[in-house]
Amino acid sequence: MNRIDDQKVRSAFSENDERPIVEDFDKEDLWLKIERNLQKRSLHRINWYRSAAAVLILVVLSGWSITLLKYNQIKTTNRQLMSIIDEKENFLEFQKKQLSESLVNPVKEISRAEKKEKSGGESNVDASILSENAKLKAEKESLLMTKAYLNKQLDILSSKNNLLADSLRLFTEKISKPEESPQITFESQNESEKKIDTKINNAYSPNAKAKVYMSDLPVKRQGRRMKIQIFNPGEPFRNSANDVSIFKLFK
Amino acid sequence: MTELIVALKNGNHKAQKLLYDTYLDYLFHVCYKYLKDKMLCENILSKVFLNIFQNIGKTDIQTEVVLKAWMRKICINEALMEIRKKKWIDNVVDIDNYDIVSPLMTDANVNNSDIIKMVMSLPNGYRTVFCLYVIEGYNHAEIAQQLAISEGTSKSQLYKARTCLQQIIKQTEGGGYE
Repeated sequence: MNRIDDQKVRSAFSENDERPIVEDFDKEDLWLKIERNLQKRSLHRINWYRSAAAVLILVVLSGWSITLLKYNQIKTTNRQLMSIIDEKENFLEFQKKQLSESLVNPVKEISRAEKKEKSGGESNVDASILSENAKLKAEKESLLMTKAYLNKQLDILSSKNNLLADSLRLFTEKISKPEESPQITFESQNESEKKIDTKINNAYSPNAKAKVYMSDLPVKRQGRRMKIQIFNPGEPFRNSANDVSIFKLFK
Repeated sequence: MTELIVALKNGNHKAQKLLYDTYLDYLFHVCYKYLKDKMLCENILSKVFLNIFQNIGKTDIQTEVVLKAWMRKICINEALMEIRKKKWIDNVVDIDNYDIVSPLMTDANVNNSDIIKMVMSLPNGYRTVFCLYVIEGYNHAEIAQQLAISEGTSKSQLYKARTCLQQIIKQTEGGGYE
């Protein structure tokens, strides 16, 4: 009995593997087939590389164009922002100047604010300045009212005073001339009345007023009274004390 | 030979042709014992050579022995892939005691070509597992992994292959192998 073990089978096949092909087999045909496949694969690989390179180039170009567009957009926006910032800076400088001017000369600012209010335009002046301005205005109005009232009172007093002075003068004249005839007295009375009238008229005329006051008061006060005359040319001035008080009020 | 390997790694066309001429017969026999079909072997060999030419540059092969073994392995893998596609082996375990290995015994004088003929006469599934186990030296786990079957299937296939071979030998003894 012969035994066919695995080793024997293995050696039989290994020996067979080294033998040439017995079957009808076209080696050249197979080689051509392999060559064709090799070329196809290399071409495919080249094509793949080419397509990948093309895609990469496209991606890079598109990315570059996008970045360029974005850069341009950013540039334009930056330019716009810069112009806006410049405008803002200019406006701030202008405002600073205005504020500094207002701090240096608040009276001017108040007058400017008043002007602005009158014109009806919107003012950008601070609320405090406006409120102060309003207070000042109110004070001014109240002072004007008091001034007008005092002027009326002064008129009344001056007219009463004149009447009293005239009556006293007439009475003293009558006492000093009792011998005169009634006609003469009438005439003299008329003449004295005329004289008084002329005096009163002279006193009421602006020139006479100036003379009266200038003669009664010192030189310094005369100048002040002249100012009052200029402000209120029609007002009668009899009482020097009242006159001074008016002057004070106007000052 | 080292020059040939270097030339192959550089993609030299002449070296590729030389390799083809040198190892075509060897690889054909390796492939043929699994597939037993000349046309199938042709297709597989074209794939095998393409695979060798394209991947030799990635390996660190420096000797002919290593190159030959590497080419053989590629060839067997391609053949087994084809077998998997064709589903030659059913994943069925129908034998319980498949570990019993009875050696092949014969009264007649059997030479190498007779042995090859007997093995090649086995059914596809039996032959594949038998060749992988006996000739290539794979264990059942490796065979199962390569053919996408269970280890039990591999063992049963081998058992059946041996039983079948024994029957063939008996038939040969009775009426002659031819």
